[in-house]
Amino acid sequence: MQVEITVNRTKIQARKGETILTALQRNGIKIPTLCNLPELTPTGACRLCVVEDEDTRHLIPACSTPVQTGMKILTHSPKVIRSRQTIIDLLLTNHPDDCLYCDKNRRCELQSLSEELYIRERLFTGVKKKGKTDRSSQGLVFDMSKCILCGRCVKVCSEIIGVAAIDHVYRGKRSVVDTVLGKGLYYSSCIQCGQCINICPTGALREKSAIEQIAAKIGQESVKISVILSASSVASIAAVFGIRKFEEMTEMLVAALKDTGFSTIVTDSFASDLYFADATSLICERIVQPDFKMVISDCPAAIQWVKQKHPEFAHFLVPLRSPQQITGRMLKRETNGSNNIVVAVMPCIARKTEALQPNNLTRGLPDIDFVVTTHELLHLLRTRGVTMPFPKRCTVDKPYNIYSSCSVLHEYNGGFAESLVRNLLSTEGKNSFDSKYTELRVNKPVKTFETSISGRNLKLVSLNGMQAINEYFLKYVTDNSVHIIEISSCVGGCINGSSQLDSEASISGKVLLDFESSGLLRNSVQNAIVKGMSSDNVVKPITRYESNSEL
Amino acid sequence: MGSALVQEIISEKKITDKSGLLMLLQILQERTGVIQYHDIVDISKQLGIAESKIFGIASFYNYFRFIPKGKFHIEICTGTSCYLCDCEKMTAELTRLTGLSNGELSRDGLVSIEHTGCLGGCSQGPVLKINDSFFTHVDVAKLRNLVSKLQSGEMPEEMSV
Amino acid sequence: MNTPLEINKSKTAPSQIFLQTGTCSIVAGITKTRDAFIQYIESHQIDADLIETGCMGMCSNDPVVDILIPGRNKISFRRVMPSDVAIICDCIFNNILPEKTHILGQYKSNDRFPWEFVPYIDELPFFATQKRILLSGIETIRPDSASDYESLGGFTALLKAIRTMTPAAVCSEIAESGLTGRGGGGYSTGSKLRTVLQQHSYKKYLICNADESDPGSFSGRLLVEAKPFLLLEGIIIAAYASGANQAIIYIRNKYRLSIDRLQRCIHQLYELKWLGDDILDSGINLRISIYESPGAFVCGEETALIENLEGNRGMPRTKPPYPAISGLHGMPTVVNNVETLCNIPAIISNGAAWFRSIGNNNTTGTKLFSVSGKTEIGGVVEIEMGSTIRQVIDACGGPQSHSEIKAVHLGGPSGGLVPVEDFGIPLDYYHLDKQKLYLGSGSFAVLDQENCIVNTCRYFMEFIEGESCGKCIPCREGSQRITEIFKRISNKPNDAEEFATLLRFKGVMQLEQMAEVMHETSLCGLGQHAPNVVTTALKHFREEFEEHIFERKCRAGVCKNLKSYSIDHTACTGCGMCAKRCPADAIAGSLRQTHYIISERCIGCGMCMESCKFNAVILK
Repeated sequence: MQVEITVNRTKIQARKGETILTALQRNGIKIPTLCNLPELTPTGACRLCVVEDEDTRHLIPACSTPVQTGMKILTHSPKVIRSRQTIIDLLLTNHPDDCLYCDKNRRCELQSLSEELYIRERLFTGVKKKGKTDRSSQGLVFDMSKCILCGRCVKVCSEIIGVAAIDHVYRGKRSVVDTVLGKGLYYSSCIQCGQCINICPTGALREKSAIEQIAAKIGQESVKISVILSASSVASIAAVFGIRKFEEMTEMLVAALKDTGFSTIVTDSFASDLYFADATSLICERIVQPDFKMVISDCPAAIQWVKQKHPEFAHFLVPLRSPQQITGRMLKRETNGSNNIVVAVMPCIARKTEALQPNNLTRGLPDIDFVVTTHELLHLLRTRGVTMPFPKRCTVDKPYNIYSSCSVLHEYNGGFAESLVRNLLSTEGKNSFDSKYTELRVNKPVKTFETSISGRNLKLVSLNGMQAINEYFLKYVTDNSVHIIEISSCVGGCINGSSQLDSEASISGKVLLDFESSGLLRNSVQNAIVKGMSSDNVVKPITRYESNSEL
Repeated sequence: MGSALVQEIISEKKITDKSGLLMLLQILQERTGVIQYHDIVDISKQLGIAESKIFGIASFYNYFRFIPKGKFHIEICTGTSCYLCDCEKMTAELTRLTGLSNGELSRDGLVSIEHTGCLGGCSQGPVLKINDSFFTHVDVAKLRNLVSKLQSGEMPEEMSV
Repeated sequence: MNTPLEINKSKTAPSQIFLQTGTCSIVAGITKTRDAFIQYIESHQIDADLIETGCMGMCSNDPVVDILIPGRNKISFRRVMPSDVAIICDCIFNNILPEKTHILGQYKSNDRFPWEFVPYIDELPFFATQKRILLSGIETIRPDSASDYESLGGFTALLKAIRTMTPAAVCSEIAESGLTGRGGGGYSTGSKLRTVLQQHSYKKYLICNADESDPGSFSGRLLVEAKPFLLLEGIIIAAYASGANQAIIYIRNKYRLSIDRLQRCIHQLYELKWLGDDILDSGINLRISIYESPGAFVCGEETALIENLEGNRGMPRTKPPYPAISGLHGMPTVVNNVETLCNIPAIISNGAAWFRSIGNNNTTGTKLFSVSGKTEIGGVVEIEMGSTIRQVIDACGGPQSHSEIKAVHLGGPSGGLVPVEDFGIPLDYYHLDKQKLYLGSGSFAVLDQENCIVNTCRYFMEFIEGESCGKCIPCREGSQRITEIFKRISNKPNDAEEFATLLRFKGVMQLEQMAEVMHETSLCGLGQHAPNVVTTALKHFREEFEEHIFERKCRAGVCKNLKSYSIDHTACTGCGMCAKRCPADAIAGSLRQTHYIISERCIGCGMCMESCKFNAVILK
């Protein structure tokens, strides 16, 4: 039903029951907001979206007031603007003045709001709160002095991720967002999905950077530094610089990194082939067992979620190392020298935690010494004067230069399930180019696929994003007709990882898809080198964890 | 041991969900005097509420303590009527005498201080409560007396005007 | 009257000792007084009953004890400490009038012999100015005795409502009476009940807010302690009117006395089948439970209260939806405070017209005020709406000796300051609203020349700063900044800060802007009303602010950081007393030599001035 309201003396149409804010947005009228996020329940906390009611002259919050027939509002009256300015002034009074060194500099919403509202002086003087900085977590840093208590992270963590590692604690002057008794994120239920970093309007939540440590190693004579590039990171950088070819971007990055002082640069795509080949053989092995069930994922956040939320189903988790860890282990084995440092470039912070898991250590030392995010890589290259497109090219070292299209596709939305299905079917000798597999690429929370392998029916469910996992995991894991459940914490796969660059994910996704359709080698199991390695005693110690309990 | 107590209260009061959480926490604190980390973990497991949520809820209310009470728990009223009787002089003096401010516990575990809302003696202010005894019309001299007694480990005699 | 109750006519002893027992008198030490009475009676073998009643409201006279001996008027004693018991009893039980110091007054009766030279209680200005409806008979009944309550005319309204009226008729009667929410909202109680009645739901809640989270208000607690049955009767009628089948009394967990008495009373009502299923054969079910809250000021806001009941952080929700439509667990919910509900029985028994005859044209009925601060008598008074502030002060005996009243802080942390010039304002919603004042829950704090306005503002803003739920920015950040501005004004001048005066001045200019934005944009009533104290103080006491800022002087001598002490060289004898007493080691000087004060160390406590016998310490 339509309702007519008057905004700034112009009549606009609104839908009955919607809030003023959505009506304004639909009609192209922009008002500032801070705590409001479309997918979360409104809290009405920031009060920035206030508008003036022309009849009563009162200010009303647009985000939580439903439209009413005949309502007359002003969105930018002097009173409204003054209130908004005062609110931002108040926030700034209690905010550190270190914008220049802040991780979120030029991407900060508080910064852009104060710019938008033309705040040119510090109106109020006051004592800034002394927030502590929580550095306990392996993937992220929480600087509470920069927190403006908008509550977005709390909402995302509990409503979408379903983890609730942090919450508002205390009240009044003392209110902060924190973990239980301030023990720190490391001791909390945080799964390092990184979503809170993404939605934090300020620099309160940020990635734990490893750049400084790596920079210190570059140029040391005796130290050899190897780099593992993930396909998502390559695609994301390609999208930012408008380079549409995946392989071209890879070659440029390899050349650039070599110039910067890294010795060996590989992608994790070869390891992905190993992963899928081994996963395929594992499934073919186990499918004959009665009550066959498997939860498959290379997403450390999703795996962590299963382990802490449903430890009773943890034995269903597939005991495979992720491509990152497989590559790391291979690189470490090849060189065998203690002065060989392995750096991985990954699309999310969960990988930072993964690298430090006890079962990813060899003789007490991690297979991967440092994990940097796509962001960090870009910063690293920028500080070293690298500009894209890079004039030089360089190919990836053998055997890492040979990989199938699956190995890249699996980072795309639904690509993991598709890759798995294609590999499974190719062992059956079936055509794996069928368009019906690409249906798995649709952006839906739950996707199912049924086929038969070795004469047995196989049903696969792919759960896309933590919200879907929270909602459906229990349903499918207890459903006897479902055999394989694929889970990943980020909606749309690793290409949408929390630490990807701020470009349109659709462009970087396109880069992956273009490569997928042009690649000659379609399936991991067809990769000749993988085939050659697949005698158990070579591959298994690399790809598989010794036991499920180790996961 | 803590776990048993949490379990006991839950089954005694038939608590099944969040609406009973505050009751559970209150009873727990009445019995043990403080809410500790392992209690929060236990409650989280038993009721299926995230740990951070439990702490978030408990810390919202000033009533809940996360630091144990001392042998002598001094509550000093900071309500409006006690304020008008200059209770702030008393709180400052108390802090000076004991070196403790609101919510703190002395190292020897003897004295803890809490600034509370109205204790009910609105016409008798400033009012002080030590464990279960009230002290009314407190002035600086009285306060010094009281604190020196407490610090020697003795419970002072109740006194009123 | 035809009720299932039987008035307890058990044999009573010839003499009766009424101990006015409330939290206030417990703090004042009535338990020890009681022990002393018991001991006296036993040792002297006096045939007397000890009866625990509620407190009649003269809290500053606590412990108050009334004694009735055969043939004589009941006589009331104040400030009865255990040491006084023997003297009082020695006299009274021998029919002699004891010393005047403890006598408060005597109660009128028709058939008893009065005491000579003892004033009548109801002629004391404290009682004569009041219009006691809710508080009537409070000192005569045992709080947890249903029969005592019935003897005061209790339960007639309940029977009338349920037996002769429809829920809609009850709503209309209450609406017509003009009764408004006494918790500060000022919204018509009758329409609130009617809105809930009109909702279709299998479950409806009625919540009684007995939390008394305002730090300066204790009238609700006194009422619950003294007349729990009145509250329960009000709840049952309101539940009947709104169709609620579950009532919850939300009460601070520290109010043990109230909770104990309420529990006993609720138990009795269940036994009488006036609660539970099919009460009084009306086909209506109602259960009452007590929810012991851990308490927070913001939980006085109804949606925050509901959040608390649901087991969440007590943060206000955004409205709409209003609780009457979707409240506790999504069900229609009506939230009222103790005083509002306690007014309902009288309205039903006596009719809306009678209630409208009390008060003035703008606001009907009476209002309880919790008077504290610098009046002769502190306690709870019940005043007709439309009376003036001066009348309330006069009822409480006027200013304390040697003091001059400067202002009244009305309505708790959400309220504002009223200067002496405005003491003629009638206390009703219309006139107060015009002055941007707020009745709140009836906190009435009286300030005299020894109270500093700037510091009082700081106290209330500091309270808000700690009690704000922390959700919305204007309230959370604004209250911190305003508190800081007040602190800056009342702090020691800092020479290092060249622009200190300018900063302080700027602070006051910003106060007004911040107060306005807080008022306009805060999420709930707490934040919206929090700056009231600032705006009223700036309006009426601007000169006191200016003194603090420019002259660095606190006329009340409260802002101790502005005080500077020095020693008069000519008067100092060098006795060293001040140096000994100084808590901050700020006084130096050798014996029999002139001492001096190290101003950097001085904390301004004034101990030196108190201890000096030669008046050598000068305060500037």
